[in-house]
Amino acid sequence: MLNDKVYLWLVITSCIALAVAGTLVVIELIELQDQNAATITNLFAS
Amino acid sequence: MSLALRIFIVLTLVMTLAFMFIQMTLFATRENWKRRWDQETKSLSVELKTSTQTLASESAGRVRAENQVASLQTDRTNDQGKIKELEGQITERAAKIQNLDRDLAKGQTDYNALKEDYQTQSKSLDMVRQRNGELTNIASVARAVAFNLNVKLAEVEDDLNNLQTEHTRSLETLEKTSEERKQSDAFVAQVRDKFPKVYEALAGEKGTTAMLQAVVAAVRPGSTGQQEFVMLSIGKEEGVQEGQEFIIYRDNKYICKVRIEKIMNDMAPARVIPSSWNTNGLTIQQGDQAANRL
Repeated sequence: MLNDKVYLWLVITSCIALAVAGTLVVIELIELQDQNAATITNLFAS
Repeated sequence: MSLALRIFIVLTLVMTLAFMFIQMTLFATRENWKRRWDQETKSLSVELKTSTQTLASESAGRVRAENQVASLQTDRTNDQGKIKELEGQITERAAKIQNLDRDLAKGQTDYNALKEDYQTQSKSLDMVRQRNGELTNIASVARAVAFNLNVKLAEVEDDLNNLQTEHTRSLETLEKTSEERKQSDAFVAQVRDKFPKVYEALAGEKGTTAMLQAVVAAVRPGSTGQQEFVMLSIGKEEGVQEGQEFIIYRDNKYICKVRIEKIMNDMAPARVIPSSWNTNGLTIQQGDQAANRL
């Protein structure tokens, strides 16, 4: 079977993938918030 | 390291990889709602402007169409009035056409009458032309006759000129004879002064041989057909005597001698002396001169 270092690299890879996925989620949330604000202002403006 | 931890680590890796794949797919395929909103609002505003413009143009067109409809209605009413007027004119024209038909029938009858008159006039014209041709022929003949008469007139004028010249010559001879008479009268006056007895004797002879002149009033032929009896315009008052001879002449041309057979008051019949006829063939005519001496 695999030794412990391989499992360590698997944990590090999992952390990196989690970080990337979390970053993408944060970016999406921020943009969605901006869109909602712009839409509401445009609605009041019209 | 226990087996459970190892399984947990692998599961965690798989789940994190799946989560990352899902998030990356969503990030790649997500919709930009803001940009879509802006584009759609812009397109809708443009469509709204174009629709308002088309609405304005259509409303203007509608107003124009309504105006046109109103004008067409007025035109229609006017046309209806005109149609009524034209119908009235049509009835009037129909009445006129009937009158014209009547006039045409009358004109046709007049034309037939005039045609008959024309035919008769043409026949008379042909007759007149024929008569005209005859008259032109007669005129040509008359021109020829007039030409001959002109020629004769020229000859007569020539004769007249010759007679005028002879008349002037006779006047000249008459003047000469008058001068000679004056000279003889002067001579007689001298004889009367110097020899009165001789003058008285000559004057007695002269009274017996006085000159008598007459004119031939009529001429009658004798039993032989030749001219034999002549009536002279002289009588007892002029002192003519029976048996006296007269000379018949015309224009100083001798014709013949006649002898008085009977004396009336103003006429004297005479007989032609047959041996005294002239040699030129002249015969006695009414109006010839007669004298007892030349």
